[in-house]
Amino acid sequence: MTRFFLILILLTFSNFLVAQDVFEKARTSMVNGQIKSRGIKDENTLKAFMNVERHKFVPDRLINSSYSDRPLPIGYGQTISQPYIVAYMTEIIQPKPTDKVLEIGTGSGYQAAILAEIIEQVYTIEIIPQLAESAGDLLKELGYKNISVKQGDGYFGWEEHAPFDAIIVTAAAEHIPPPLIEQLKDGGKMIIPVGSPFLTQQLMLVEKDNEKIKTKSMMPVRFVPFTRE
Amino acid sequence: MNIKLYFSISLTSAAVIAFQITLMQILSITQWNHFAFMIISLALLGFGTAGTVLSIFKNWFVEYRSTIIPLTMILTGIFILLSVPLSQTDFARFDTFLLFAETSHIFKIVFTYIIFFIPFFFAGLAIGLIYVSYAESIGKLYFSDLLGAGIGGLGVVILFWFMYSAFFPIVISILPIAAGVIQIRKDKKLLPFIAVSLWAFIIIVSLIYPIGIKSSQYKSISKTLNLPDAEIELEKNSPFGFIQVVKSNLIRHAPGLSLTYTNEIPVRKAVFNNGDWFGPIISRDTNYSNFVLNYTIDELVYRLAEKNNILILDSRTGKDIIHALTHNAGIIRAVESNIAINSLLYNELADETDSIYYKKNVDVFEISSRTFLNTDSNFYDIILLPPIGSFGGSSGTQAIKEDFLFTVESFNLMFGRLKENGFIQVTCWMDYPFRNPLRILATIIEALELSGINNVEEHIVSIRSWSSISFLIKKKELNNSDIEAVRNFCNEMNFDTVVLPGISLEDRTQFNQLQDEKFFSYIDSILSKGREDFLKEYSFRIFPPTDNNPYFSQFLKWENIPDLQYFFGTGAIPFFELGYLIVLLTFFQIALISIILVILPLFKLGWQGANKLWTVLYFSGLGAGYMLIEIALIQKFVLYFGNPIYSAAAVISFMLICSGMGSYISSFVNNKSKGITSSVLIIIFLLITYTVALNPLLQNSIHYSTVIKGLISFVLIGLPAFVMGFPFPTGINKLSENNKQQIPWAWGINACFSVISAVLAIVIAVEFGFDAVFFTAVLAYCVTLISTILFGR
Repeated sequence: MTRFFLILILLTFSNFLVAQDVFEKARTSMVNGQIKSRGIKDENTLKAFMNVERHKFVPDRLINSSYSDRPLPIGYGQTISQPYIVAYMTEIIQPKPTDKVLEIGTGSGYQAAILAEIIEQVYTIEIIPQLAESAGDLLKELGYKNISVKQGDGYFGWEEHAPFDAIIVTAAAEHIPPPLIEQLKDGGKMIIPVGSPFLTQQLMLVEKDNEKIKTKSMMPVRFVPFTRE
Repeated sequence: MNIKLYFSISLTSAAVIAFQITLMQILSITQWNHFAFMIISLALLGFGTAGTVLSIFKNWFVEYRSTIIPLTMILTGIFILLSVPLSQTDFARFDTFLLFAETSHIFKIVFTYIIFFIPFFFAGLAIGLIYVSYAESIGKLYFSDLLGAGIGGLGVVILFWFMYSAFFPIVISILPIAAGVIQIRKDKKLLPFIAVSLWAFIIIVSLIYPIGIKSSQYKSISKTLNLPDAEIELEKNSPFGFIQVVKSNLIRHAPGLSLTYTNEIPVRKAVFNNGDWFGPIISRDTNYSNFVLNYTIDELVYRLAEKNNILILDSRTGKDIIHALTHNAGIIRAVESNIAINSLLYNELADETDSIYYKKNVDVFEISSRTFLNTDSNFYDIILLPPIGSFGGSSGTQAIKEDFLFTVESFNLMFGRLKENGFIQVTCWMDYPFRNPLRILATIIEALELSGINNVEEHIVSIRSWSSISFLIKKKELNNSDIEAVRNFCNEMNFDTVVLPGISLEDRTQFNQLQDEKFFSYIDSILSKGREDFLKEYSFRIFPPTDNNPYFSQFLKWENIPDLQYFFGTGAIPFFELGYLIVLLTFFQIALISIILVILPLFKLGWQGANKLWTVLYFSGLGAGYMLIEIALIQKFVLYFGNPIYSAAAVISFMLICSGMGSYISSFVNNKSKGITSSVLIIIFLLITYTVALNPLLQNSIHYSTVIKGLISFVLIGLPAFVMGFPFPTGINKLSENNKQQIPWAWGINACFSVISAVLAIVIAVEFGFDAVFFTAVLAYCVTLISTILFGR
């Protein structure tokens, strides 16, 4: 009997190890094949992508596609963005360890987790209660103590913690909310995808310099990045 | 033959057409028009399949016809009732965009195909078996068939005003069940009772466990309803779509808003049509300096033009009317063809929109904007067009939607209606790869040149925000004060100039930079004399649309697909032109299935002899020709009636009824071969005449009242349709004399080619224009004629 249990435990444990190994390999391949190869150089960003287990942020039925080069549906019409886009958005705000960053649109919580690996404090707001709750629980379960999740309307930002060094908006908007511009530090950067989640996303960089606002359309993306090689 | 049989065939046909239109609306609500189109085409293949099955098992079916005819009619009704709830179960409910992300959705769409296929298959079996069994009365039977279809089509359009489309199947299913019940032999007293009980049982179950129609999670309505406090305040069905008004404190609409705006955005309600965004409900803000639309690029025209006479085309929920009222505009003419939306603004939403439709200086016209332009004779200071494209790029979901408002002819008409210092303004979203702004600029330039303007760049202004771009066209040349006003406005709002006399590259990227600055060289190329070469060489199709080819949102160039794959990756291709690719996919899929269905019976009928070549060519030509003409006429009459729904209803119904009459008369023709040759020759003659004469006839009578236009259209549509009713029943009759076993096969061929042509017509129209569709129809009838001359003895 004892032997049977030992074998069972061994089998379960070895399966777990094999799965872990598979995901780790997939993650390494994602970082090298999808992120580094497309020009992401920031060491902190790359390290964060190696550390965060993306497969824990996708629905179970899509777990085998966790590290593939595309966004994945997470329900409620929302997606977990393509890894490269998350990396690009992270790198472009040039996060420093002492930074305070606001994320609008927690979604699965993956982008917040990546940021939390690099910076001091992440504030993230999700409008859909179910997503806010599940992302909050998951991030807590994964041990992230420097992420504050709030369910609410991201339009108004998070005034009590403003100003922010950077703001990442992960939900496409047809206008840039004025309160977010106000809550951006002078010299701060905001990155916002423009377009519908499954079709076109055009990443827009908004910079505040001496109270003057400038925008730059950075990268149009869909399922795959539009890299002009 | 029993009169009840004619009645049964009419009822079944009415149900088939009504169910088809119902499915089109349901799929437009749950998904997008293109999938509706794909599934309906496939469902209609049910008729083709029924023809094939009948060909193979003809003897068995004929032997048991007294049981099979009522049974298949009843089954049609039962499956009409079941198919919509079944399609909304977790097994079948697919999501268009998840087809590219989750394999399970491919299985779901296949399951949906099967569900929608079944009722059409049973209806096809019932009608086909009647044709085979009573071929000698084919003229009258075909008349009953077409008459029923015509009435069914009109009936369901009326039903749209009174009921939600989810309930339609309950009403529609009564028709074939009644048709079947009256065919049951008198000695089988229990069967009618069983049929009606089963029908009632399904209705009771579906009322106890209702399965609602749910839109894709990626449609605007679903996203809005995900907002925590969102609730549907009002729902209204109509032939113009299923309208929903959603209320939420989190709905804010200010597309492309200037980053200098710092106030609250005052929108709390929005209107959706078939689950797609239709427009915001904006209350008029009396405080001019705070009004949100004054901080968008749409404001520029008010900084430049007089405001005495304003024309707003496709005014939708009245956003631009409110904007004009804020500027104390004089007379405002608003054109909106969606009667259901107008009814909301006149009634339920009147208070919230400051009763804009009741203002003394606001006139509302319920007609399509393009038809209004064709009939209007006033002059304006400002003409406003609705925004083009959708936020962040259209992805091609509108690729096969014809839009006569953005054609060269339309801009030419607008230019003619401007006062001396008047402006036209049109705004579109910045997309990438660049398509919409380039095409609209090319269209504007071609229209100006058509109006005799040589120095077009002296008449055009364009400005850009971080997300959208606006083009203004002035009747006279721009003067220095116009140019200064544009520069001041852009500086004030953080917008950039794109086209303006004396502009520099720095002006173009002062506030909003583009990663790909080639956009500006593209704009300059279109403004230059080398425009034609640039348009030819550009990776996408951005030639100006015309009335003959009004597909503004179709940008795909086949020959450039390899280049696009190289630049953007294979995975991106479907998302450039999703809509058009789906249509093409449908075409190939249906063509393949049809060929199989046409070939399959030959294993039973044998491959040689008995005039099979005549049967194939004759009935395929008829099937294709009829459908191509029907679709071409619907498009031609859209402008005439000013509304696509009225056009479709008029053309389909008039054609079916008049062809039915023709079919009835054909039963009195004795010399079949002569009758066929003469009728097909007359059809070809009429169609050739129409390719030349129809457009001028419609253009010259467009000013008449609706009643007169209805009569004119009845004659114009009915004349060829009457003759087109001759060849099919005469051909079947001819087969009944010599090759009776080929009748179901012929009927199946006709159905298959009708379906192929329904899709083919769209492809031809997109690639070559509507005139080419007409011409292809002539060719199809020529095939019929030649087959009769060569092999029809």
